[in-house]
Amino acid sequence: MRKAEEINYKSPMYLQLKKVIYSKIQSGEYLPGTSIPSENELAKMYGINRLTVRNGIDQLVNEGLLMRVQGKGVYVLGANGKSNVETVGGFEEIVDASNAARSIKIIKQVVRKAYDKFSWIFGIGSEDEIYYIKRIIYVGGTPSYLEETYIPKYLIPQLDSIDLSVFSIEEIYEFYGIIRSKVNETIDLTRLDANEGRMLKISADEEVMVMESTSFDYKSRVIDYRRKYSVSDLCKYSVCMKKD
Amino acid sequence: MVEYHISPRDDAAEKIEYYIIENKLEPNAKIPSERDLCEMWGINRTTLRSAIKRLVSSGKLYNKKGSGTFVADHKIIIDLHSIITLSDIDIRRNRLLIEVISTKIIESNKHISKELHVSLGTRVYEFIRLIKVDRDPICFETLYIPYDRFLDIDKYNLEEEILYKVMENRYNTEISGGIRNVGISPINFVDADLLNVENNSAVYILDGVIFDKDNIPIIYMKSMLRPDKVKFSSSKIYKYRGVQA
Repeated sequence: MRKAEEINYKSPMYLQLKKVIYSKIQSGEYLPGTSIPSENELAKMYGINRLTVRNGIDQLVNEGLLMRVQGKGVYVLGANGKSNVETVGGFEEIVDASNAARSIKIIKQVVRKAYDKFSWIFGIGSEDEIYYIKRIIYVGGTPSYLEETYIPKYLIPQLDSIDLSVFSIEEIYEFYGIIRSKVNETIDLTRLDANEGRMLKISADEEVMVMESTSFDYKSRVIDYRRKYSVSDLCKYSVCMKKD
Repeated sequence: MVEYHISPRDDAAEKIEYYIIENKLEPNAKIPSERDLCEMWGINRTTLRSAIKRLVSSGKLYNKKGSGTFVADHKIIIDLHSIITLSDIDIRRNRLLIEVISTKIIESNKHISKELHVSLGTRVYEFIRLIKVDRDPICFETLYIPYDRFLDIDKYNLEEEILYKVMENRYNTEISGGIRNVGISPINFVDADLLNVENNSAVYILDGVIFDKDNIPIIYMKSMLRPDKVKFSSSKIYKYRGVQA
């Protein structure tokens, strides 16, 4: 973005706007994972044409700093280290309709006190805050998973403003440089309560698979705890075996 | 964001779970009476009951009529990532019993052929075994093994000897890895009887293929396991290029 520094009041309006947005991303006013104001809002804010706004945004989209999400808005992207990670072991989800589109509905994304159980899990004070996120994952329009995630607040203080129906927790970790080193996973059978059963369109006494996972970082701190319930006839897990 | 207060039921359920951890209550240990717990935490009986009910239905506690509420029994944890048969599970030999129900030489059907990479009608061994821990049947498994390569493997005492060891030591086979899939399904009445579970109840369906070092399948297995006795684990390790561990 060396060019952006040379921008002055005589520069084309879309480039000036581009510089404004770029600076706000750099300064952290627009955080990775959050949406920036709409094109209309920006047009109004700076007294410029909406098409000019779009031009400026398009440039940042092309440069990989912003992402457009159909029907939702424009989101700030963070660092991406995907190509640098390899995983060994762990359960992989297999869904019958693997090419079916996935969508996510957020049921809850709240901050709560850890209290005893989660202060024990995360090694934090019981009055410290944690995020609790409850989401339904639809595969091809069918509610297939119910996922509960707990993350200590100190890890990503900004998480409450991040749209978790657009980004996965993995992507958010990448944006904020949080590095997982190990995840312990177990698969068990359990039952949901009536309310949760309804969300997955199953009866309350039906048994569901639950994958419970605890993630650790390099300092061996627990960084998240998740429970993912899956509808039995739709989902399976697969594991690759290796001889030690 | 407005601070969220968890529901009284969920709060009570977390308190009970933590009570078990904090006091190191063993499986099958009795938890304190409803009255004592209510007094200790200053919560009402209805809330506590609803929390207990939730923990019972999710499998963390169980009730015994007239005698109270207990911590759920310990489940055998099977690490699906490491290559083991159930007979290798880390439990004392005297608690484990493998019954070979039948040993047959059959011609492979379409399904088995596909899994073992052999042509239709190839001879394969079919072993059906029931695995018991503390006299409870926990797993009912069927194994298919290519006949020509493992000629006379049925002569070994597979109730005692570990199958993989026999393959490695007697058949000069090096096992390298494999794939396992786990799902759940309702059980039919014949199998329900064998596993001593209720007809139509949910059981784990585990199937998998084991390969030798040249990636040739040597075992195809299908099994049913009791979810009240067994759970599965696997650890995922992340390796980052250019990042110091």
